[in-house]
Amino acid sequence: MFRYISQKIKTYKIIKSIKDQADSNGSGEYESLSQLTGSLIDDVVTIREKAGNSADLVIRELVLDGVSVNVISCEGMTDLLAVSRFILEPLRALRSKLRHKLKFTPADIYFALQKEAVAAADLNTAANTEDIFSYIMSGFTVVLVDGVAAGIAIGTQGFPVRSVEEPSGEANIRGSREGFVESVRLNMALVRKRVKSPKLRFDMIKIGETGKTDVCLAYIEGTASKKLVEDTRRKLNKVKVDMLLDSGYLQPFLETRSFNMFSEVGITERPDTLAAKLSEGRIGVIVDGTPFVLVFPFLFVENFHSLDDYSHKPYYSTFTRLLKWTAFFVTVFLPGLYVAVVNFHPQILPNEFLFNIMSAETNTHLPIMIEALVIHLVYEIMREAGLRLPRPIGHAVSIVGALVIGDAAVSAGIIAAPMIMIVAMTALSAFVIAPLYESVSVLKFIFIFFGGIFGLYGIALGFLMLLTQICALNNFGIPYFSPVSPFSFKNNRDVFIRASWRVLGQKNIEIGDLPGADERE
Amino acid sequence: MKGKITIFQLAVLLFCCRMLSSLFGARGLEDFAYGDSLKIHIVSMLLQALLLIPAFALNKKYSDDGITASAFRFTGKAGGTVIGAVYYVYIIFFACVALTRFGNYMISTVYPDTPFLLITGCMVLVCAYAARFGIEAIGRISLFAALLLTVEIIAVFFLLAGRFETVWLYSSVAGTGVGNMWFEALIQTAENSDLVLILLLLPQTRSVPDSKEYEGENKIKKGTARGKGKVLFYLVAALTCMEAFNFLARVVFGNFAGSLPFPTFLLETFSHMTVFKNINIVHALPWTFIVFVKITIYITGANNILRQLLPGKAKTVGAPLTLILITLGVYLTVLNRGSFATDQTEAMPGRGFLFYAQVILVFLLPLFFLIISRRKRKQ
Repeated sequence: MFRYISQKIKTYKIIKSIKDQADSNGSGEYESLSQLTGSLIDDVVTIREKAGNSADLVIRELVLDGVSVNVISCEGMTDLLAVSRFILEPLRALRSKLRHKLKFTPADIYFALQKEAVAAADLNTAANTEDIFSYIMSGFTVVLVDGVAAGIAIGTQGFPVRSVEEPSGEANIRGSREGFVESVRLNMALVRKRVKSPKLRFDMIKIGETGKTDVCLAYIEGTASKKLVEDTRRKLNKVKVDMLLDSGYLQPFLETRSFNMFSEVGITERPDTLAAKLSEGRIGVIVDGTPFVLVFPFLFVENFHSLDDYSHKPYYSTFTRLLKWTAFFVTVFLPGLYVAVVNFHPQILPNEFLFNIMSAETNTHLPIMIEALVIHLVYEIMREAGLRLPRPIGHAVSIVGALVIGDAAVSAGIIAAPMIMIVAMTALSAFVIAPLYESVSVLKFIFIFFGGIFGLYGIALGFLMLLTQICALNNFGIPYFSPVSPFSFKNNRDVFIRASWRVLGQKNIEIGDLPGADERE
Repeated sequence: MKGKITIFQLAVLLFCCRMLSSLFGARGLEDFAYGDSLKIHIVSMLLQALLLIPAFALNKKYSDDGITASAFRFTGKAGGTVIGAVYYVYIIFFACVALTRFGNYMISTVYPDTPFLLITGCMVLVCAYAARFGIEAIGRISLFAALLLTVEIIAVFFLLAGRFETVWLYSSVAGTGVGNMWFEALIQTAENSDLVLILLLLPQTRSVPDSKEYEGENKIKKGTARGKGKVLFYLVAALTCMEAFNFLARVVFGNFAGSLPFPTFLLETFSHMTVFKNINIVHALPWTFIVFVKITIYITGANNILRQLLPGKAKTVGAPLTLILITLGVYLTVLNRGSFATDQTEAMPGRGFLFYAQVILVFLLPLFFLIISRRKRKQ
């Protein structure tokens, strides 16, 4: 009798701990999920049915002191060594212990197993079939004991992971060569390696109706404002997508406006960059399955910063930053300005220069605006083709493109030689400001149109609209163009110019200190 | 505190608005010796400051209430609606005048073959787009406009330095009596549409945070009155810049400065650079920015008033109504374009009426509301 009551109490404790865990996750879905019955046969049948007898579902049956125990995992997702070490060996040890003792209840076996498997890095409890699926799809192995309506999920991940390499899109000259990989856990470790503070927090969220992708919210408590963290968590919890295959899927949910030319969320492939941003009070969102981590609040001026800026001498970093700003203006405005000046305001140019341009333009048959639009369109087509094709064919595309654009188009009188120079300068400048590539490649077409229709007045109006869009943005309460406008002299020591570390090191610039940030944090 | 600007931004906005007067020809260039015109500007500024005292006092009491909200508070719904409508029309009128003068400037200087309505129409559309984002966005943009114009002034000053004829500073074609000076200063004050803008912008301004303090667990920013000195500083800066242009016009053009349509622009075109030939259009760009700032503030102000006049409908009706009224206003003023060409034109229709309107709307009405509020408090 006592034995029966004790067993019931233990089972109740297990269920209660699972409920508490579900509540603390904020899911509140405990009741609605298909709970485990406690009958191993029924539960396994349910799992098999739900999985549709999938070929990669591995269920191994064992008997311990007359109690059936099933070990469930997903083939290819687990490390066999870890399974053997954390599950099979403890089970064997338990079996030998049980031989010399009195009869054990299923709950005793459950707790004993949990105790034995404590060496595993990750140990959780699965209360329902959804939990079980979620765990085994993440590389866990779940152990079910007949008579207990819960499972032990043991971290035995062993799925194929790309090794840590230098990121291709964010290469630097000095500094670390480590880049993020596709595994969220490994990425967390890469950040933790750099921020050895107990204040660094990693909150896990699952997003995606079908995909149930692990999303990790990284921030430093006390540095990132509570409001920012809560707002982000609320926004992420509201995300409704079926499959979350890349961090880019989350971007629109974190941005203020549905249509915006510039990204309000930064992207990095580097753990050192993320660590630096976290120390400024920002939040990182690491998505399982992608090496691209989202960072926000993100400012417009950060598009012109790179990690190398902080390693080089300040004067050189300042020079490269000014170079990047110049490249931005060249990419966006140069084609439009050329069209506007040649079409409407040729009197600006010195006579000799004007004569050269005019003699080249008179040999072409297309209006200058159309000429500019066509040549830039051809360039974008070539770039896109070279990007998607295999590398050897991509080179061939570049050669064909260079011949077509460079020589044949000029000889045929379709494009003037100065226009070739303009497109070359625009293309080169666009590569200097890689984070803004999407925006500038569309903006240059808009400014060609404005310049071709209204001249410099049109470009000025277009620039004002662009400026309005940038200035009107508030990203999580932080003005997007801060600290340029609203202006703050104190915070401008790391915008256009990069002050020495002796100055920067005196006080860390925190995102909440920027001018125009919300009054109350 | 969303949708508000700082004192610094208010100052920059006012700087931009004041500077536009230099383009259309600031008063005081004709008839007076240079020293006297400077005195006129200073006296006029002091008069403007005096006129604004009731408005500032009212704002101190009801910091979140605009002038229309005060009208509703003290004169009831009917009175508030009428007074609000008057302010709305007044603002739209000045927006039309600024836009017409700008259009006139553009077609007289850089785009002689472009239709007037195309230039003003494009500008008003861009301004309406910017006004959608509220005063906060335009407050941020104004910094760039002010910076661009300041660079332009400095560049022009240095490029023209070789042409200065200081003898013109001491000669005048007409004598200047004290009475004339006061009269001129009064006219300048009455014609300054920026005073109404100050009324509109005051409730949308927050003080500059000086320090961060802790209140419980929350970090809060506390503002003090120190930031208010910035307004004065920037108004003085605006006066200095305007005077710089007046000074330049006087030493370069002499007594002809007063009779020129756009003396500031002509100064700019006189300042040749060695490489480029004729950069008139480049000189026009800073002014395009300044006009954009000014008209956007007018539209934002008009939309704010409409929000109080038509609660709930302002979003759907307000913006299109303002846009239509401005377009109509510009179209009507096109018919009488010459009269609106510059600030100097004596023939501007309803000039006397504007003088009284300015005094009533900027000074008397806030004073009236202030008196009522004091009486109510005593009761």
